[in-house]
Amino acid sequence: MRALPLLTILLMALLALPTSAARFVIVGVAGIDDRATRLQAIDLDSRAADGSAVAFDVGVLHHGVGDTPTGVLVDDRRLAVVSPRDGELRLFDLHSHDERSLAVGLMRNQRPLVTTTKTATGTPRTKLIAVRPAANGTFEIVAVGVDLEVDGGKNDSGKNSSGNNNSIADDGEDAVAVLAHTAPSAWITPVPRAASASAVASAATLSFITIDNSSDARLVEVAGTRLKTRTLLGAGVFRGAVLRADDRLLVERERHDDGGKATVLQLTVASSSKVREQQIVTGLPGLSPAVAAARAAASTGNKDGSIVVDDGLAASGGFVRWPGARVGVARPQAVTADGDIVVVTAIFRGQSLPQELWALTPKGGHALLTPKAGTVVTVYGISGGFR
Amino acid sequence: MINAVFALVVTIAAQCTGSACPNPCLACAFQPVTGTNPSVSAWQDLFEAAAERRTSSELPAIQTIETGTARTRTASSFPCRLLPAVAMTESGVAQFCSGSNKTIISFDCGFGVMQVTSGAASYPGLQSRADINLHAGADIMAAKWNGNESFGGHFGDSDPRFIESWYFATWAYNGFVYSNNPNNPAHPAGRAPFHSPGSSPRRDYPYQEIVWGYLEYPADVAGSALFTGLSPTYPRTCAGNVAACCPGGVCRGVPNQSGLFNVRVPLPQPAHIDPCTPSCPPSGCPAADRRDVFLDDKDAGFRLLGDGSAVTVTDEGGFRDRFFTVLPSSPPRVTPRWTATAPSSGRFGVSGFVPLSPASHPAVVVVVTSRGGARRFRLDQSVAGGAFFALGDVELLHNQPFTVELDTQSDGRNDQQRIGIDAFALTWRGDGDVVAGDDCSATIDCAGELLCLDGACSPGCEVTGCSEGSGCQRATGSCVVVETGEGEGEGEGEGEGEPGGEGEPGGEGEGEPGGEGEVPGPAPLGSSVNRGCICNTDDDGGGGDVALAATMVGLLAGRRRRR
Repeated sequence: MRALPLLTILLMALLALPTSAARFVIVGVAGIDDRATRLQAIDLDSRAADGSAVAFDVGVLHHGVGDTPTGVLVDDRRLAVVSPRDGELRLFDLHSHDERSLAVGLMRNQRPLVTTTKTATGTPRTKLIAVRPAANGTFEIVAVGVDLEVDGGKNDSGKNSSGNNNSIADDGEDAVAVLAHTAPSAWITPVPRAASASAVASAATLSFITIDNSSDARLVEVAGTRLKTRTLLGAGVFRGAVLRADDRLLVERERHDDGGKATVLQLTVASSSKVREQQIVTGLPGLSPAVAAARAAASTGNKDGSIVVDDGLAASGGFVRWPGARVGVARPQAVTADGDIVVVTAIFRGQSLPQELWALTPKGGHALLTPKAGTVVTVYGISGGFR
Repeated sequence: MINAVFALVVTIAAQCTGSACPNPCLACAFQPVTGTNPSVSAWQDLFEAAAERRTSSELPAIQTIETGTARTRTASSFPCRLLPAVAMTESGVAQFCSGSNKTIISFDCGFGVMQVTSGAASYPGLQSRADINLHAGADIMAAKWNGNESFGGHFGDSDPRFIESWYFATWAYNGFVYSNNPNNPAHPAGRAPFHSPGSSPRRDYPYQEIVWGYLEYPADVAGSALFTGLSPTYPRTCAGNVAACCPGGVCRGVPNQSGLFNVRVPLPQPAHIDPCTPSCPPSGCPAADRRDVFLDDKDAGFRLLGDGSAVTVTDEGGFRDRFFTVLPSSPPRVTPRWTATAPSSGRFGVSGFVPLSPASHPAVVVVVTSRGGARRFRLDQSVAGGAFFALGDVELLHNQPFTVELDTQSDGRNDQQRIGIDAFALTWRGDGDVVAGDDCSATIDCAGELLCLDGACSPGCEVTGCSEGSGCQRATGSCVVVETGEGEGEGEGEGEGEPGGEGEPGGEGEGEPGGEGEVPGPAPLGSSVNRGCICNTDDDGGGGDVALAATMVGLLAGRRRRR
C-alpha cells in the first residue's frame, strides 16, 4: 500500500517528461533575493490550449543570496554552471539531478564555451573552455573535460594537471588542462570558434577578445600554449562576441564617441593583422548578438522589440529585420535552426517591469515566460530534447 | 604526504569553504560568538549613529575624510542611506546567522554585518557587536574615500554630503578591481538598476551598482523596510581609456581601464544630499503621504492643448500603460499640459517617465511652472525607457497649483523622432538653506517661500507687493499684469495670445533647452488672481489652476531673465 503513492508519483513524473525529441529552452528562474534557482524546460514547439507555454521543472541550483549562476548547456541533458561566489564550475544533470564539481577558481561571471572536438581516433570529445584569473591581472585559459561519465567512473574532476595537455583536441583524460598561460589582459572574452562539432580542424583555433591596460581590444588566438595576438580591434567595450562561421565574428561594440549607442559589427578576419568591419545595426546598448548553427540574430536596439536575423551562410551577411512581438528592447539569448529558425529573446521593458522571454519566428512570436516583478530569468541554452 | 598536509593547513589558514551560515569560518582572526540581531528600529539607530559619527570609547574611531577642492580633513557625516545599503549588499543586514545565531564569518574571513575583512584584527569586538562592526565598516569606507588617488579619483568638489560622491569609495570597499568597472563587458549593457522589478541577476552588476540598486530598491530586513528608496544618479561610463575620456583633464565618465587610476569626474546630476535629519521648511517636514505626486496622461489634470489629431495613442509601454506621442513641428501643433496641486512646500525633484516605442526623441523640452517661475529641463527619450529619469528640482508651495508642459516645437534636428507624452513624478527633497539677502542661483536654494531674485533670496510679491495694474501670483510669487480676462483658456498653451512673440510655449529664445532657468515674469491677470498684494490663501487651490494658466499667458506676453 505504501508503495502505491510512490509508484503513482513516479508514473506522473514519467508522463510529465516529453516522450519524443523536441526543442526546449532551459532557463533558470529565481527571485532576486532567492538562494535557489529553479531550472525549467520550456517547450519551444507546442503550447497549451490557452496559448501559454508548456514548461516543467528539471532541477534546482542552490547558491548564495541572489547569486544566480551563469552557465551553458553542454548537451541535451547536462548543464555547466559557474558559481558566482568562488568560480566553481559544476556539472548538473537535468535527468538524474546529479551535480558534481569540475574545477574551481574560474572567472565567476563568464559562462564557459562548449567545444566538441575529435580525438586522434576520431572520437568526439566535449570540453568546456573557460578562463581563470592568474597572478597580476593575467589569466589562464583552461579546458575542462566533460566526457566523463556522470556516475563517476573516471571522475577526477577538480584536479589541475597544468601543462600536461596543451591542445584543445587532445586525447588526454585530465579534467582540467591549461591551454594558455598568463594572458596579458584585463578581461578576456572567449569566442566560440570551436563550438561546432565539425568545425575544428586543428588543435589551436580558439579566438579571444582581450582588453589590455590601455583598454584597447584585441583579437587573439590560442597557439599551442601561447596566446597569439592577431589584430587590434580598437578601443571600446566589446560584448557578446560570437562566431558565425570561419573567420567571421559578430560582436557588439560600444565606444565613448558613439553617443550612447552600440553597434553590432561583423568582423571578417582577412589576415593576421587585418580585420574587415561591417556595421550590421546600431541602437541602444545591449544588442546581444547570438548565434547557433551559423544563424545569427541581434537586437535592433529600438524599443519596439524588433531584431535582425541573418539567413545563415550568406557571405554578404544578409540580415533581415523581424518585427517585435512585444514593445521593449529585445535582447536575443539563443538561436536554434533545427527546423524553423527560432530566436529566444528577452524583452526588457524598463526597470519598472520584469523582463519577459519570447520566442520569435518569421511568422510571429509567443511568450515563453512572463514572470512577476523581481524575478530573474537566465537562459542557459536550447536542448534538442530529452532522450 | 607532508607536503599535502602542509598544503591542507595553508588552505585552511587562508580561507574556508562553504556558506558562512550556519557554519561560520573558524580559521580567522576572531572566533564566532552567539548573539541576536538587532531589531529593525535598532538597526536604524545604529546606522544613523555611525553615519553621524556618534561614537564612544567602546567604538572604533572613524577617521576624518578629505573634503572640498583642497581635500582638507573634516569629520563629515556619511550620507544616511549609504552604510545601510552597503550592509544590505554585504550581509543582508545581519550580524548573526539566523538559526544558529553565530557570527556571520564568510569563507574569506569577512566578519558580520559589514563583512569586514582587511584589518579586522584591529577592530576587536567586531565579531560580537553590531555597532562595533558598523563603525569599523564606516572607518574602512572613509579610508577608501581618502585613498582617492588610488581608488579611482573623485567626483566634483569631493563633497561627502552627496551620495553620488561616494561611487569610487564604494567600489573600493569591495576592491578597486576591473570586475567592478561598470564598463567591464561582463556586465550587460543597458542593465536596469539592481533589485528593480526589471533587475538582472546580481552577477551582472559591479559591486557599487548593487549598493546603488539597494539605495533605490531596498530589500526588506526581517520583513520590514529599513529605509525608503532614493534614486541615486549613476556616473557616465566611458568606453575608452583615461586619455580618451579626459580631454582637458576632466573625465566625462568612468574610464574603461583596469588597475588604479586617478580621475576627476563631474558630480553626476542630479546629485542627492541625504542627511539623516533632513532640513525642513519652517512649516516642518511633510508627512510621508505628502512627499510624492504623480502626473499621468490619464489624470483629470492632463490636457492636450491645440490640435488633438496630431497625437497618436499607444496602449502599452507607458507609466500606466497608455501614452501619447507627437512629432515635433514648427509651430507646435499641440501642447501637453499636466496641472496639479502641490501636496506640501519645499524642494521637489522632477522625474519624467520615458515610455517605450515609439517615443524616441532625444531632447524633449519640459517646462515646470511653480514657485519662482518656470524651469526648463530636457528629457532624453531615446534611451531604453520604461522608467522615470531625473530632470532636476523645482520649488513647490503647499496647496498651490503648478504645471508641467512639453514643448513640442521642432528643434530642427530630430523631427522624425516622436515625443512621448506620458507621466512625471515629483518627490520632496527638503528645503533650501539660503536665507533672505544671501546669494542664490535658483529659488530651490532659498529657504521657505523665498525666491531667488537677481541673485539673492528675497520675499515674493506677497510681501513686496506689486506695481499698479498688476497682481500677485502666489503660486509663482511673481506679479502678473492685470487684464480684463481676455485671452485666458486655450490661448495660453498654443501661443495664440501673443503669436509670433518671443514667448512661444516652452520659451524658445529664453534659454538653451537642457539648461535650467527660472522665468518669472508679468502675466495677464485672470479674475481669480488677487489684485494688488492681496495674495491667494492656501485654500484657494480651485482658483489657482486658472490663475496659473494666466501666468502661462503672461509668460507668452513677455519675459525677463532674473539671472
